[in-house]
Amino acid sequence: MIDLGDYKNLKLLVDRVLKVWPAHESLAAKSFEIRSPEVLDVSNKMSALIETLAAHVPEGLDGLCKSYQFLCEKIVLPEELYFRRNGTYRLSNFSDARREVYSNAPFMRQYMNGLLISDVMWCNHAQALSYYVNSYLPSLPDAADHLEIGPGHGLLLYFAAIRPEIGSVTGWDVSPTSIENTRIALDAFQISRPVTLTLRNLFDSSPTTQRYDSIVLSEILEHLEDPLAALRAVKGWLKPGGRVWVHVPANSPAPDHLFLVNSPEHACELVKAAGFVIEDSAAFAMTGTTLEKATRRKLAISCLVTGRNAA
Amino acid sequence: MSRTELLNKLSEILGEILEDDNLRLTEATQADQVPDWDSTNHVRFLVAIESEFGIRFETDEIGSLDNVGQLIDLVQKKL
Repeated sequence: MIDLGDYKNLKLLVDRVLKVWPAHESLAAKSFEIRSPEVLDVSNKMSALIETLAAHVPEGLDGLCKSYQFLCEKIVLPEELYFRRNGTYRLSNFSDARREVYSNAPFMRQYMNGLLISDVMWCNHAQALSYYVNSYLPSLPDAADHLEIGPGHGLLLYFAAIRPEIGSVTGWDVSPTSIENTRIALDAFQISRPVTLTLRNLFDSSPTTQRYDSIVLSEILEHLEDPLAALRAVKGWLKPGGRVWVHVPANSPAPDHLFLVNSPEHACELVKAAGFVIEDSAAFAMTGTTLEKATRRKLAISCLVTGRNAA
Repeated sequence: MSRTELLNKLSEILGEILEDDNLRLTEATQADQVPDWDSTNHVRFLVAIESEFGIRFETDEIGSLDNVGQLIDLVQKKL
């Protein structure tokens, strides 16, 4: 078994995943052997949050772990086959994604729950989250107004909300169901400060003058037909000097991924094309390979880009 | 194509994918015995076999193989 030492919550979660899916052990071992103590610490905190959340959802922790296996074997693998055969994602427009994926509530629930566990199990996801917690959030100015678009299970919002130096924390989503799920998660995490969750489309014109110091787009752009337009809209919501933090996967097929980012450089080019000054970037390869090999073989890479609104 | 010829060809294809010129498969070889032969590289391997032999795998067949011998059986069935 994998020795996770004193990372108790992480050990509990990994043990439960492997109990549900024993054949996953060798890949899991590869995923954890390369993580630094800093990344393992964030994975341990993520695991604690997931275990808390599991007590508030009908599936429980084993159900979440089963959803993770379903994600890997039944959702991602067929898309990977299409991607390797054709060099493109299977879908390219939002109406198809809505018809095939978003309107199928039971499928969506399994898909989202599987992705939640992937934040701990996939080393590129874990490293991206560690970067967000240990590098991006600490770089924000005191009293920053922080917004996340599409906060999902609310884990990234949680890590922003527990930092007292951040002034305000807000999440936007276009789906009432997603907003409700984020609220359930944040309530379960017992955050002591208010987190504003608003049903809002990034492209809607604003009746307010509120602008933000920090806007997070984590695994959002690949779901859009026109990510450049989204980034330009984000720019309009930032204060002068404010930052966008983009986490977008390259070469990562999924049933609702529409826009193919093909390299970390491509991710940076997108952010730059929207008018941002690139302040920082990082890239983390999928489990079991190096960044150099992943780039050459067009394997999945988590691309992180911080852009500043210089205007 | 004989099983031995097929085995040599599969070794060559997987060796190219994993960038390992010395890779030699046997019929008993399993994916977890070969470094880097993970689920994504397995898909890349099968797609390369499709291209080489002009065959097509079903999605359900991707995860149904226990060893290289079973893969040879499947390829021979499709040729």
